[in-house]
Formats: sequence, structure tokens, C-alpha cells
Amino acid sequence: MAFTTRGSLLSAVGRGDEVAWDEFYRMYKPLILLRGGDLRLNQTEKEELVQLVMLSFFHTAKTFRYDRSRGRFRDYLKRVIQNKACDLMRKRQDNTVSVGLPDEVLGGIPAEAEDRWEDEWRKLVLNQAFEELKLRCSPTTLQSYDLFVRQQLPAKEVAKLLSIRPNAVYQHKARVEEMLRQIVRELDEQQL
Amino acid sequence: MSSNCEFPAQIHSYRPICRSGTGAFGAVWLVKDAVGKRYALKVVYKLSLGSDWKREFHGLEHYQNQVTAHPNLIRIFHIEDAPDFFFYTMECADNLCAEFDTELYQPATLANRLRREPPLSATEVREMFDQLLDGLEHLHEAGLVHRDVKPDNIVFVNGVPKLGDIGLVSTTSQTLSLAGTRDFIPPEYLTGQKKLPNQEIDIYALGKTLFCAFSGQEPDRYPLLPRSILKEPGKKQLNDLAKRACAVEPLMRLKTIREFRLFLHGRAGWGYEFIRLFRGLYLLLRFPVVLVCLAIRFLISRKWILILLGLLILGWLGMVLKALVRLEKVYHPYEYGIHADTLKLAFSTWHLPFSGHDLYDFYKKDDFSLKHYGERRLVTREEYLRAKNFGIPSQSLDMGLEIEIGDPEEAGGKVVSRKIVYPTPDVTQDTPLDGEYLHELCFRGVRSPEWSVPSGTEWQGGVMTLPAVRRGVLKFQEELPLRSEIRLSFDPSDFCGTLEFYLTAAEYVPVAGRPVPETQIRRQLRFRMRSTGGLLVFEPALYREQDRTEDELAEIGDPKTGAVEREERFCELRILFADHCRRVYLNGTLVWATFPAFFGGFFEMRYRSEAGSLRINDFAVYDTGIVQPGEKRESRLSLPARRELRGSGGREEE
Repeated sequence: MAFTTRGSLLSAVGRGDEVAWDEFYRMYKPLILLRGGDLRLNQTEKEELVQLVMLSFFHTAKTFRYDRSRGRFRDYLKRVIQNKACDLMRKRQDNTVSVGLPDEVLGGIPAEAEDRWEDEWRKLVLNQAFEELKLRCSPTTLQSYDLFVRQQLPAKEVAKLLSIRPNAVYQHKARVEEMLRQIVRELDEQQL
Repeated sequence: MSSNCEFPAQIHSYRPICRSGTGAFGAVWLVKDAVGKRYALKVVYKLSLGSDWKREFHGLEHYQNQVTAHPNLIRIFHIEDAPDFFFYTMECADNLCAEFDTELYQPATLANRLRREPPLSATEVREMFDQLLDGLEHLHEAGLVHRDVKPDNIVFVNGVPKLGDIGLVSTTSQTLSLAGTRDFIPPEYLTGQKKLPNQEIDIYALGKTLFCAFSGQEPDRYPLLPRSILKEPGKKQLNDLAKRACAVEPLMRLKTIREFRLFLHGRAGWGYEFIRLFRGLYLLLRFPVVLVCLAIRFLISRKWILILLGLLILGWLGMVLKALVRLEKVYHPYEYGIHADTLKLAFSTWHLPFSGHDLYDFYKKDDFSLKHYGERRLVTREEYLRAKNFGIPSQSLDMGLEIEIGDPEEAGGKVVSRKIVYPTPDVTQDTPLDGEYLHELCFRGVRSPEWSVPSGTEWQGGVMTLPAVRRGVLKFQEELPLRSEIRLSFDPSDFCGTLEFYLTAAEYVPVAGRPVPETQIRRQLRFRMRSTGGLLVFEPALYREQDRTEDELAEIGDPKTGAVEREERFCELRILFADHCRRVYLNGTLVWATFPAFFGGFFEMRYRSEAGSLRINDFAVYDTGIVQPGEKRESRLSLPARRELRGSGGREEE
């Protein structure tokens, strides 16, 4: 994980860092696709939407300064996606028969879509937290946690596979969970 | 410019067979030359790389010029520079598809093999990585770093694994922008903490490649593994090796190819663990420095802490300034400006108002010139006492006080009160003094400006006769030496009444900013006796603490003897500081021995007459002190000779 916080990721994107761009793209592409689907865009349009949103960030990257007091980044991103989706829909109106005006489409976003967005965002946070965890924990600790908690292997077997004491397995579990909680708290505090 | 999809028409010497790979900057083609020999040809478009194409081109140059042929490094045959692109030919990888000459060419890279087949066995991995380590070692020995070791860049030529794609090869002295594949780059390079590429980058990437090879997992899954993998023979050891090569802390990672190889073959012994232990110790030693850096970063990142710190510093400077003004007034009253000595002192004494100590202006009292013109310093009482009484044990400076907590059992297990107990020292006439004591005369005389006497006092033939009034105070104006002996010779034959001898602490030095109470009540030690013609009867000694009232007097020692019958006309009273306590002798008989020791202070005698007047024919103050090594003084204190008492109120006999 190159950037420990989304704040640092955004500032790195602003600096034009290639790795940051790559990570930014990987991180937010699924969200853009999801929102595109909710706005009833077809697959091609969704892909184009990703490009448009990324281009929009690329153009404003150097001047973009994230100000927490003005709102959450997720809301800002949602707004950008919607604006770009509207642009796409207007373009579509010129060429094809539209299913509805952009404003109508935006107004008709079901409540479930908002829930899906929030869920997806939460998933993103958790994934990021786990990536961050990889930087803070030793590989053995992570493997021990993964085998014991995710793969539900008995502690003794985990200890045997990793050549550690069974007691350490429980310690690793507690340590990882505490760290994970802390990272999620940190990410939440950023209100991104 | 040709696109990635088309083979550049400018290349005439090679005929394309098929495209085997496409990247962001170009494409790799399977080509054959005029005689039908197959090569992999990589085309790099300059425009897509911007100015970075030179970097890749220089990488090729370095590789060609500095690296000799090695069986585990891909061979480059031909490099050519064109206006829009450059290309180079290299050994072509084996085909993973059965039909070689057709469009179905899939280069035999490790990544492709892992996609097609299950993960490699531990033995296969060991054999393959052993060869790759040879190739990488050869590259490192030439002073180059590969920078892009990953399963896609490990190609099999005639079944031999080789490190391919040498486009990012650079020397270790080059500071280059971040390159390579994200999952194979050490985190510290991704975050920009490190910039200069070194061979550890390749070892880290090789560790990740190893992880992919034995587990079949994607590199971003590292270090998570399915349980089945770990159960396979030999995989546990490989997992351990991957974890060591890709440890989070750079210092704990494998550093050299040799270390990697040792672990690959399970030959790393306790020696390596010893090295790791030292690295761990180094990390621990580095920890405080890191902690300080983090603290500074934390402080800088929070404005309110900086503001608070600024205010504290301003407050501190204000205190120093205040102390400085005061010290300037004391030490240089007629000179303007700031003096270095006062500035230094101000920095060290600014905190005194908070320290809870009394402040004293200290000077050497036995030197007139020093007292009036010499060095004066602002000190705490403890410093004052220590300076004047070098060698006094610290408990003596505490005045021998002991603090007792009320009996917890009586108060249902709770501490109810704190009581200060002044122990009565177990001193008798026979108790010897601990050390040798000086005996220097400071003052002698009964008629002197130093005396404050009641009106109506008369002097005749060197004898002071106090007026026969009901009450009176006779006060010696000078402060006593820190350790002193007072000798007073008086005639109580005509006097009937009470005599009280007071030792009162020195005045406070007023401290700027501290309110001075209207009535400053100081510590006081009192010895009281009653004279009834020829008989002197003693009462318990009294002690008053600092800032306590007259009602809060404490009895701190019964007299050692009940009454003494006057033997001669004049009685000699000696109030002596010795053995960290005050001893009072009357005609050589020990009457009181009390804590607290009570350093310095002022002496006064109060009397209440019922009949007759009191006559005083001698008064002297001696400075007593412990003999310092090498110090020579002629006069020594001699204890009064032992006397045996015949009983209370009886006469004494030698």
C-alpha cells in the first residue's frame, strides 16, 4: 500500500505521482462503475464514465485541495460522477433516443442505490484498512490471523504450520483486531 | 508512428510471426530473421515514454556493456534506434502451446505457467530460484539492479529460467523515478522514503515472486495463503523465506543473495539469527530517536500545541525577566543595563517562587566587607543552610522532624490526621559530642548598640541591671551564626519571676509577587525557667512552627533536671548547638536537649518580674562548627565537666 491515508493519496495524486494515480484508479473504479449502473448507464457508458471522472480529477489534480470542513470526499466524488453521468446522458440524447432527461434520472435514484453506495464505500474502507494492516503487522501475525480467523483452523494447527506457540495465535488475533479497529477509526476520522 | 497493434514497417531485417505481449510503452513480437531463427523483439515507442525512453535505452546500454553472458540472464542480440522508436531482439521464450509455428504462441514465463498449471512444488521452486539467484547475483556483481523482477519477467528458454525484460535495469548510483510493478516494490520506495535503488529492491521482488511461485497466489494477496499450500511438503520453509525477504521492517529483511540462497536450501544457521538479533537491537536503539522525530512531527502538525508551547515559553521568559529585574536591583542597584551574571542567575532562579522554599539573601556573615559589598545570592533555605554548614546531614536540615500518621486502627482503618512529632534526643551529661566543634568568639559584651534593652536599664561596673518592672524584653539585634553557642551570665538572687529565652528564625527576604503577611510569624524555640530566690525551676521547652500562632506551641522536651539551686551569685546559661540538637546547660548541668536543631536565628530574653531585678554581667556568642579536614583553629569547645546531682533542688558537688 503506497499511501497510508486517502488524504495522502489525494495529495500524491495532486503532485502527479504515477503510483498514486494507479492506486486512485484501482480504488475508485468499482465505485464509479457502481454509480454508473445506478444511473442506468450501459457497459460502454460506464467505462466511459470511469474515464471521464478520472480525466476530471487529472485536470483538477494540481489545483485540487481537499478541505475536510467543506464535506466528505465520498460526497464530492459522488457529485463528480453524477455530473459526468449527466454529460454522458446529454450526449446520448443527441444521438439516440433517451429513456429520460438527466435530471429525471438523477431524481429517480432509488434509496437502495444510496445504501449500495455506502456499502461499497464501507467495503473500500475495510479493504484499505487491511492493506494498511499489511504495513503495520508482521507477515507471520497476518498469516496467523488469516488462518485462525478467516480460514478457521484450530489454533494448534495454525501454530504448527507457522512454527509459533499456540498462545501466540490468540495474541496475534487480538493484536490484529485491535489494529484493524484503530485503522478503521483513523480512516473514519478523516471523513473522506 | 506505428501503433502497438502493428509491426513497425521500418524494421526490415525481421519478419513478425505474432505479437506475444503488449505494454504501455510498446509491444513484444515473436519474429524470425532471414534464416528463420526466432527472436523476441521488443519495440519501445519514444513518444509514449516521453523523455524516459532514454532511461530505458541507457538501461540497455549498461546491460550490454557491463554484463557478460550468463545462462540465467536473457541474451540481447541486436539494438537499433529509429526516429520514433527503438527496438531490440532477445532470446525468445519457449512456447507453452503445443503448436509452435502457429498464432497460438504463449511465451513460457513464470506468470503464464502459474496461470495454466497448479503452483510449483517446493523442489521445482528451489531448483528454479537457485538458477535465478545465480543470474541476479551476476547482475548485481556488475553493479546493476534489475528493478522489475516478477513472474512475468521470468522466462524459460529451452527450459532454463532466465531474468528477462531488462528495460528498467539501472546502476545503483542512479536516482530514478519510481519504476517497476507496484506489488513488487518495497513499501518504503512507494511512500518515497527511499529513492536510490539498491539490490535489496530485487531481493524483495524475488521474495514476492517466490511467494507467487510456491503458492500460486496473486502478489497483492501476500502474505495470505490457503491452508492447503502450507501443508505441502517443503512449502513451510519457502513461506518462511518469503516472509523474511519481504519483511515490513527493511532492516529485518534479507539483504544479500547469499542470505537468500542459504534460506532457500535451509542452510541458514544460528549465525544468521545472531545477525538478526543485532539488527533488532539496532532497531531498539533507534527507537528513541524515532520517537523524538514522531513527537516533533506530532507537535508541528497540531497548531494548538504549538500555540500552547509558545505561550508557555513566553510565560517562562516573563518569569526570567521578572527575576532578572529583581536581581539587577539587588546586585547592581546603581548600574543600568543587563549583566551577564544576573542574567545567568535569572535563568536558574526564575522557578524559585514556585519551589515552595523560602528565599534568603545569602552572604558570608563573618566577613564585614562581603556582607556589605560582596557577593549576595538568592538561595533556598536548604541551600542557605548547606552553604553555611558544610557537612551537615540532610536530616538535620529537616530539623529532625518526623511525620507520623495517625493510628489507622483507631480510625477504622483510615488515616485521620498527620501529627508532627519532635523527638526528644536521648542526650545526657555523659553523651559525647560527635565531632570536634569550633569555638570562635563572635560577640561579647553587655553594653553595645547590638542590644535592645528595656528603658530604665542601668549599667554599673560592667553589669547590666534590668529595671524591676513587670515585663521586659532584652534582645540581641545581630543574627546568630548558623551553629552557635550563647553564654549568658545572670544573677537571679534578687529576682523572683519568670525568665524565657527565645530563639527566633531569621526574617524572610520579601519575594516579589508573594504577599507578605502583616504579622510574620516565624519559627521559635523557647526555654522557660522560674526563679524563686535561690532556686531555679525549669519548664518544658516549647516550639512554634512557621506561620503558626501562639496557641499552637508544641512541647518538645522536658527538662533533664527538675530544679537547680543556685551555687554562686551569678549563673551561667549556655545554649549550645551540638549533635544536631540544641543543648542548654545551667552552670554546667544539662537542662534541655531538644530537636529541632534550629540553625541561626535571633536571641532574646523575656522576663516577668514579681519582685526584684535581674542583673547580667556577661553575654557572649560563639560560632561553632564541624572541623573541616585540614582546618586549624585554636579554640575548641569543651563540654562542661560532669556533675552529679544530689537530687532535685539539692546542691551540686564536684
